[in-house]
Amino acid sequence: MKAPGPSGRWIGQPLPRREDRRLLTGAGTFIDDIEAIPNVYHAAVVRSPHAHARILRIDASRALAAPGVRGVVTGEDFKRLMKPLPVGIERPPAYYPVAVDKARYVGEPVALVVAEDRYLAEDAADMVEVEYDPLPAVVDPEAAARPGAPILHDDLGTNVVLHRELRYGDPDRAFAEADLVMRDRFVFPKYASTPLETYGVIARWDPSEGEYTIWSNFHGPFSMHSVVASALGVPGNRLRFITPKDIGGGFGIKTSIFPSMAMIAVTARAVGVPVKWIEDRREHLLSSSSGTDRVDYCDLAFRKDGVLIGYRRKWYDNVGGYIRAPEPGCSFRPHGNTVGPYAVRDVALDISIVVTNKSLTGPNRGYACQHLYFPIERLMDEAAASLGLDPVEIRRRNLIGPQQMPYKTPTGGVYDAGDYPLALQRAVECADYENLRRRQAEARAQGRLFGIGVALGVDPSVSNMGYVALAYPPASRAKPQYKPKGAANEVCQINVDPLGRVTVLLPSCPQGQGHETVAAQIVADELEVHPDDVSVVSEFDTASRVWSITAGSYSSRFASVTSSAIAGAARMIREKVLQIAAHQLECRPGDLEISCGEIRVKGSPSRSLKFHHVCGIAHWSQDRLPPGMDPGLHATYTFSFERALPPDERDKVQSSQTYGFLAEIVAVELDPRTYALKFHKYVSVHDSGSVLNPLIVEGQIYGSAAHGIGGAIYEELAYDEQGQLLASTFADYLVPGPMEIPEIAIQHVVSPSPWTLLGSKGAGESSAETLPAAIANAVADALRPLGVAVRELPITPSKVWHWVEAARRTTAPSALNREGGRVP
Amino acid sequence: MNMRLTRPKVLVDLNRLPALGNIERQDGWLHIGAMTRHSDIELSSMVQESCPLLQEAAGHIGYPAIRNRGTIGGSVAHNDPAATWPAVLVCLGAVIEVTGLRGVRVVPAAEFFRGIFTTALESEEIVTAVRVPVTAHPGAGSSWVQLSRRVGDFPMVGVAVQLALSDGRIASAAIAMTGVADGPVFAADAAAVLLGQKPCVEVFVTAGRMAQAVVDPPSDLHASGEYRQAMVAVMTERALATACQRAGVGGGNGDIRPGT
Repeated sequence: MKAPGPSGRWIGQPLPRREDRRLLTGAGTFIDDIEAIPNVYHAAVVRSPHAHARILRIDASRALAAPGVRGVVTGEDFKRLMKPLPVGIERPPAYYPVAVDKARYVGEPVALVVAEDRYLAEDAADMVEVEYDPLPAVVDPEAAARPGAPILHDDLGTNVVLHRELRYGDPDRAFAEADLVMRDRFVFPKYASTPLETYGVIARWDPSEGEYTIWSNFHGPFSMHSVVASALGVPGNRLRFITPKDIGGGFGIKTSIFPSMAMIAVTARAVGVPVKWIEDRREHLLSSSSGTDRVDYCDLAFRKDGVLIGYRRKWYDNVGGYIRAPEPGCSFRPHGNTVGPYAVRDVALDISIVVTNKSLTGPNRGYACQHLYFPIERLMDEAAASLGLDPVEIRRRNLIGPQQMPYKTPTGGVYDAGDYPLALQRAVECADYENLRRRQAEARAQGRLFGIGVALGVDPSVSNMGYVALAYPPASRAKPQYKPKGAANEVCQINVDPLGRVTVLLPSCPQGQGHETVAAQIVADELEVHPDDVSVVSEFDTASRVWSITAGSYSSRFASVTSSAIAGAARMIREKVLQIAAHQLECRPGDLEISCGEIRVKGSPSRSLKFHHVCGIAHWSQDRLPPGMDPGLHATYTFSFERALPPDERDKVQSSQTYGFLAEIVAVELDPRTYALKFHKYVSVHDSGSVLNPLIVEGQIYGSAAHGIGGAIYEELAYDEQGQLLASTFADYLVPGPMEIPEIAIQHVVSPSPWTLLGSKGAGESSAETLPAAIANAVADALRPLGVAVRELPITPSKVWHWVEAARRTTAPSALNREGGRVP
Repeated sequence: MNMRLTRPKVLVDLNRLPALGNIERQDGWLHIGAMTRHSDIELSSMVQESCPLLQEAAGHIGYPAIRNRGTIGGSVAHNDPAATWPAVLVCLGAVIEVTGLRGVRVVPAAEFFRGIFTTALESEEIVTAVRVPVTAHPGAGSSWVQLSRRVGDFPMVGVAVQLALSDGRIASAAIAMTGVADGPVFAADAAAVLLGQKPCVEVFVTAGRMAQAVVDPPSDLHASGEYRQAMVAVMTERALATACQRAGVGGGNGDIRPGT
């Protein structure tokens, strides 16, 4: 039992996670552990081996005759029993969980076999005969957008399912006035987060009630509940989502499980039995979810003093065979922080969302911030090199200052708090940057490839789901039939029993983040009890819980909004307890304090009541309650942000509600012959507001850094030209392990958010957003003497070897295309 | 089997045949039972004293959990084109002991590995042991060098070198590679040019070029064939330099310098 910190508070203490004992001893309760319902049958999925093919005929007769088989469902059943899954764009292609006419990516479900156990189902799945008419495939988003490309959805006639041009300020003037324009084409890879636990769904259809119940490791956003209800054609109150106590990691990938939930639900209805499906790893890599791959033309306009004055991007986001909600978030989730930490005001964006013959996409730790920052931070370094400035100095000249907070960005974001120059300075000091540059000079003199990379980023947390409406042009949003949406709420319920023990009902469906620990810390502070005396319930059930439309864990929202909802509910409990006690002690609630399980009149400690006696009065003795007070002791508190509004008519939106800051410095060395990469130093400075539990935040930083290293160096869901996935096992999809992750020097700068109850902001995605850019910059810096630029990820030794060979063959090596040339 | 690429009707568990798990030294040979775990080879003092190349290579196979379960016999019978053991055994001039209904036969490693996932094993035979000549003599040096994406991954290129110095000159040498063809490659010409030479950078570069010349490696997600081919030279040079150092150039601690 640990005592609270010097401040007398549990918040801010590195309290070990209460979840760890069960998780580390195999005592967790995951979707595959629960006996949800008796007589469950098991599904195996028949998947398309083709990237693009018309489905001519499906013959399930052999499979149906196989031992233990209860039924086979195909696209026809899905067309009959559900509607396409809705998505927020004007002309979405019809998307069912199972292919109905064509298969559009390798691994797309084509049929499901339901049998007495999974083994029998897998055996029978091999007996389903599907006749395909293969069609030409396209996998590159830029190629798919060109005329003449194979068309995935014939009724649309184009693969560009959404195109928007957005302008803020006067970018044309900025570029005309620029002394230097940096321009390049960048390619960001498709990668995922591969949680330890794959997707899992159990579903039943109750024909007597007309009700679906779906158990799964879904963790929100619960706005998807309406999406699934609408697709399944049932009212929301005839669709029940249940999430077990434990989820084995998510990192955004599991927000995209909802079509699989619909898939198993419809299968259960069609076959007439409850059905269970646990995704295997190969299925997960083939068809669960990933971030988009993006081709991005980025132009930055600078004055000769290094000040960034214009910002222009034209990108193609590849959402795979269909667009699935919450896409096109890939292009819009970080909209409010498009300019990152820089004070540039003139911005032009040309955004295309493209379908190709790859698997579908969705949130992946950092959700599009890594895509956002990679080109900007790369070009910042190239501009610094062109202008003879140090990469740190050019950034200093462009940072938004602490005196400008709260800062309104040109795209509608409002940054709540931060001291970006201070955090950058902290990173410079922690990295001993001057010394690193000296080491670099020495290494270069010896012919070694030593590079230093800096990357900065604004770290958004708590998405306002209203950002998705940027997919509609303002004219469409002005129509009366359009219903504007904007929300970033959370609701928490706390119950106190007659003996004074507290139970928190978590609305976050945690996936291993330690929410139970932090919830107990918050409540312990508010009610002056010990965290061990606070029970925290993680199981979730839409039928019996109070829940908000935006409930769940995603967009790093726990530390901002969920923590505020928990604190708010605890404060309501405290207020009621004090009112009851004041009524007994014949004083005012403000005269009371809670300490060591007693409620005392300040200054006269003999006048006191036991905390649990007051709780007993609340439940048992309504005659002793203040007049008009309801008996019982429970509170439901909803926390919301006033700026979580729909986009305005100028396409501005507060896409997130709190904004942290990241300053990272990486030093790497490449083997001069093999180009294998070694880390010399990695410094990561975070401003995530008030730190609720430093142990947990450190874990989040290591985890997000590992994902950043994955995207920068190792992980790619690579496809060949024919649309075959080349990385369908962990032998080819390379997840970095402990040997690949360097030690991280972590520092915090604390700028409390004025908009959350505890001053905290999200920290769950953090370095996953900036580390790919920092590593790319470090590698580019190492390779600068060889005339090699870094324009794509992941950076593999083989790729670098080819870049160097190509640069050697080029007579006049030019790191990047430049225009302007008015620099002295 | 996990991928359903192969579906045997019957599986036989060899774990309960302890005789297949022994390491013995006899008459200048190490006898390593087929069920010997990679980790047993890595941690065996007898292996370290008899054939350091085996021990060094074993430590590069996968990671500890894999080395605790995987066996040398399994790796040999599987013959993955990027596996460690086939190249090491070819380099060492090992022989594979094969047992079938007609009794026991021995096949030289150089003849055993036939191509991708293909060996000289007949359908009713199993690998029961590998026999490796003791190499730990005065003047001998060896090295295993590999290039992998991550620690524990199959090598993109792996090079085994076993050599011996006599009077400051290379008296014998063997070089074998993995990850660059459909199975292990014995670089006979590259080894031959070393004979009689004083160890120096130029000699290693020449040998590296010759090793490179005999392979045309495939491309995959992790590395292009061109990169692999270039790395054959780099890895060969590095393996030779390390092996010569271990063999005692410059009194056992000297750097390999350019020749005169």
